Amino acid sequence: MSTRFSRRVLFGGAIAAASAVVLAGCGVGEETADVALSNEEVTLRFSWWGSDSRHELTNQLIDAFEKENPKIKVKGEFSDWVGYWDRMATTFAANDAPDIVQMDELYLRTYADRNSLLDLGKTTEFLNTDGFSDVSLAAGQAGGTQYALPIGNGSLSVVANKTVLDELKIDLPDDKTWTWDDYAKISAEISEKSGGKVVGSGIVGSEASLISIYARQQGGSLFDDNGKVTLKPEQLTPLWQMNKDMAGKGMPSAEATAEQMSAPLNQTWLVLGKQAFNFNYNTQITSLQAAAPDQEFVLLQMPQSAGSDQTGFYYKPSMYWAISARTEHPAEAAKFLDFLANSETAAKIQGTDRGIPANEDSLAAIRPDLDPSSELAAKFNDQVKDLVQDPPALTPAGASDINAMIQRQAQEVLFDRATPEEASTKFIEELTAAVDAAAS
Amino acid sequence: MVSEFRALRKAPGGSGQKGRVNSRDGRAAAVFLAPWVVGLVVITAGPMLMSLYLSFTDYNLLSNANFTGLENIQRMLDDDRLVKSLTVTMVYVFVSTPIQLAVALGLAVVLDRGLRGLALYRSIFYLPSLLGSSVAVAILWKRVFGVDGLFNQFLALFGIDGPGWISSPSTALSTLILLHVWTFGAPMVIFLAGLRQIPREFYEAAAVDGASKRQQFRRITLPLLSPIIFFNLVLGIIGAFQSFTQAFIVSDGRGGPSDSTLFFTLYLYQQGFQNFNMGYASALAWLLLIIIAAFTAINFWVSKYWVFYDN
Repeated sequence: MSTRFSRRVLFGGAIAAASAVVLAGCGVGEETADVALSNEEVTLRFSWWGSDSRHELTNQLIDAFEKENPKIKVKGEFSDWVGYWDRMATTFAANDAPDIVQMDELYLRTYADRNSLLDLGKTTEFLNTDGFSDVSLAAGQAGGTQYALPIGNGSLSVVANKTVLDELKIDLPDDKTWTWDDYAKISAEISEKSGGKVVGSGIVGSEASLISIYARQQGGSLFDDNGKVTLKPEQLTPLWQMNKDMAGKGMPSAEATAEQMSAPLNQTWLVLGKQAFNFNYNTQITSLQAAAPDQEFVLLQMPQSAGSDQTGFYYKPSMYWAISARTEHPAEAAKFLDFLANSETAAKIQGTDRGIPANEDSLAAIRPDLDPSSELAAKFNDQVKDLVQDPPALTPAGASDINAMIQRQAQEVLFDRATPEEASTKFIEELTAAVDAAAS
Repeated sequence: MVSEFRALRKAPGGSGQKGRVNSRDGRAAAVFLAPWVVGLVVITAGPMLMSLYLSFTDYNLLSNANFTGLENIQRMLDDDRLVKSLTVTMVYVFVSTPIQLAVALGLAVVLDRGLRGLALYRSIFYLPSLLGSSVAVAILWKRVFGVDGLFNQFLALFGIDGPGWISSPSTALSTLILLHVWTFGAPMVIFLAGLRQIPREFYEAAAVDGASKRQQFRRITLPLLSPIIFFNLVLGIIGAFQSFTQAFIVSDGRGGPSDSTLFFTLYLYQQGFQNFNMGYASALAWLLLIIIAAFTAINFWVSKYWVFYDN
């Protein structure tokens, strides 16, 4: 009897011990190490998401940096978008985060607010930011602290398939003046004229930045600087009403639209020549053009709201560089970041793969060698320069999943399960609940 | 399993010698048990206890966990998507499992008739079970049932203009149920083994008495096979509750269109890894455990009324 009892005690103790280990594993770690270069060889871990071509270019960046800095080795880790954020979440939670990470606006505050990113202000000795405008830098700040450095600047645009429009003998619309009503009318005309072979538009309002622009045109915004949701249903409903009115007439059927939401680039109707307009960042024209060499794409400005003097346009960083707050080598990490952000060598290797460089010197260095579609994208940034307004508040923690929430409710409308009013009210409720849950 | 366990307990010594365990045997047993105990503690029990603790916290992966008492349970009570995901999962489990078992049993009976090339058929039918929960097949499935997919191209031959099966909320779940049914091979193989255990004499005797094939199936095969059916049913239901890969791939981790394929496990993953609500996700995991345990208990209780043990 006694042996059995003591064994049980032992067993319980073992479990307690094991869970204590696990418990210890997930606390917040120690303070950031001193920002000074080490005398010994240092290995940095660097992670990014992207396509195969980006992986190749980034490996070239690493090689070039290592050649200039023989004492610093950089180990690259990469994956696709979805896998990337799973890995980020688990490696940061496990105290095993890479030293330098590629960051997105959707997640910047999620990580920054929880002290997971290094204050880049502490690394100014190694990291120069002179090439960046104040507006650009501001887009990487949360609560006045520079947590991330923008890599590229983009602006949301309408990508138009000119080949398709030419075939249908429809002129390019005047995008300086066009309104959302014009947009809907022209889209319907395209569908009609082609006899259903081509549709005018893809889904409207299936993504946060478009909704943000539209809300700004109505004098509203998605979030405020305190990370509260400020969107009003009436600032979103008209967009989803367009989807409802245009499904099958000017847009693909509801099912095809739902499918297009998750289609890979080379299967999108725009690339296949079955759709005339789509909302994309201007910088995406390069990959769209590469996927459809026999189509000609051009960039148009976003439609405006009739009677509003707000364009709502803004430059959005394509992505950011950031350093983990728990890196053991902040100085070396900053040095590598400095290379990525400022070096002309890096700019030339990278081209526009991560967007039109936010660093103005880098852009000037590569501008003469831009391929035609990248030049179109760069020109578009120049074209809207006087129309862009201050960037909107960063996406707060808890709202990283905002695009999934938007698409879910947009689909409810498409499939007639909710009216546009109901869906936008529901979306705002859900978003507010998610943000509040993360803030508590 | 259970009987083995009993045998082990009865084995040497039994109740009479409790106090005098041979110390050398005891040590040997401890050594042999060690890998299992270590595995249990480190890989299963430790994380489970951890997740039980986390389910009462607001752990967000990046900051320290704060104890929040029953807040996560409170949150479950007015979580519409939780209700939605439970509904989707229940439909999936209780539609796909019976159909899958019926198909498996039917084919097992046919194959048991002594078909030539049985081994080959068995392997072919078993193949989907190996592939069914793989990423590759889920991707294939997405293509086959897409708007321009193989299935619609097939329907087009007959002039039918099929919808986007996976992109329409009214049919998306059915395609996943079909995918699950398609993996009938594993229960089928178990049924086949069970059918082999039924003595042929029963059938011969029944045939002599003039019983039809259908009567033989109902009066001999089903009762004698009922423990196997029960076994497959329990495992099938537990497995179906935990399905994840198919819905994750087919809907790109979203559970769409319009939450129609939002499996419970998928929702749990979204909360934990996409929304950083790991505390809430842990609570959801425990809810799933409780639900599965409850259904398994019901299953065992009901089994008293229909499962026939021949001893």
